[in-house]
Amino acid sequence: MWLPLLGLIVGMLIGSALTLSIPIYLASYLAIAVLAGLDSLLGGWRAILEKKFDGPILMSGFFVNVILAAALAYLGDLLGVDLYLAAVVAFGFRIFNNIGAIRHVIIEQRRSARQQAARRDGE
Amino acid sequence: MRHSKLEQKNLLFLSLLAVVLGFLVMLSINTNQAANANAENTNAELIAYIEENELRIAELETEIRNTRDAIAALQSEQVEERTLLAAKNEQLERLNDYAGYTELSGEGLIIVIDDNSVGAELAQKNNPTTYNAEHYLVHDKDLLYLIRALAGHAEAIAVNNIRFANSASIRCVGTVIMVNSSRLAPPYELRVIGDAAALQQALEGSARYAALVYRQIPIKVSVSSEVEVPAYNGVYSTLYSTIASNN
Repeated sequence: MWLPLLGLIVGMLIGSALTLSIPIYLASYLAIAVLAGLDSLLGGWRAILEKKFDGPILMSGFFVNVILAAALAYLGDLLGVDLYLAAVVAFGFRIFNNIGAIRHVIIEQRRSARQQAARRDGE
Repeated sequence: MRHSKLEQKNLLFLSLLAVVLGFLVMLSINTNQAANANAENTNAELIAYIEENELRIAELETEIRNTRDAIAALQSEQVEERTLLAAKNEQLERLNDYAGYTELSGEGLIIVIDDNSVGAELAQKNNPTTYNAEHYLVHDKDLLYLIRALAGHAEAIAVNNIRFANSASIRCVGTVIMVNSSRLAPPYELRVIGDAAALQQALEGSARYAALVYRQIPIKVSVSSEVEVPAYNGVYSTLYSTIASNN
């Protein structure tokens, strides 16, 4: 269950060890891409918990969202409109939705597990 | 909690994506930190630039103060020089007065002398054998001696509106009297500025005045409070003299 979180930490350790950086003018695009990736990751976790997981959909969603979010922010810069704000709001909304759903599922699963255990003890 | 094989496979797959995401997160953090460090460096550079400029401004302010002091000292010197120059100008004006280069007016005498043409006519008619024309004419020496008699009390003298300055001359060319190379014709008007009483006394006490009276040459003397004497038009030339050095 907590393996993705471990993966996230490992990825961060790798990134921290490599101390790579990109040009400053691309930093805002990368931040949007990270939000998109986080959204996809949480969506995948939720799908696993809800037993609806589909690997290709998650994979394509992850990379397409990351690239599109960055592209949208870049387009906003070209047009002089802060489109990245729209992406932040949208991804923020989805991230909180996913976290809420994951919380619900985990609580439900634990509750049903406890009830099953109590029933077994009663029998 | 136990997971099925499929769930484990899915979690592994998700974890791989999480590794990628973790890497991206750190990449973003590193980039922002680099940007902040860069901004701090820029700030440090700006602070150094401002401090350098402040030092430069302080130096320039000191320079301005020094320059102002120098200007004040120069102005003070200038004031002294102006005062000195004004005194010199005043002295120069007085010297011009003495040299006769300025018009003057003041109290004095106006003396008009004419040839004794009436006496000459009578003498020629009554005693043609003893008649001497020169006896009835005003000569250059008459004017010269009168001027010499007045000079001790006069500040300025003009003969027929010609200033009689230091280097002026009166001479006779044939029957014509010349003052400063200008020909004069009778009557001769002497304008003399000075103490009128002293001038009159000097005039009447002179031997030449007595001689003129004796020859019955018409002389009219009048006192005026506003005698006008023109400026000297000639030049002073020094061909043989130079200013002696103080050594």
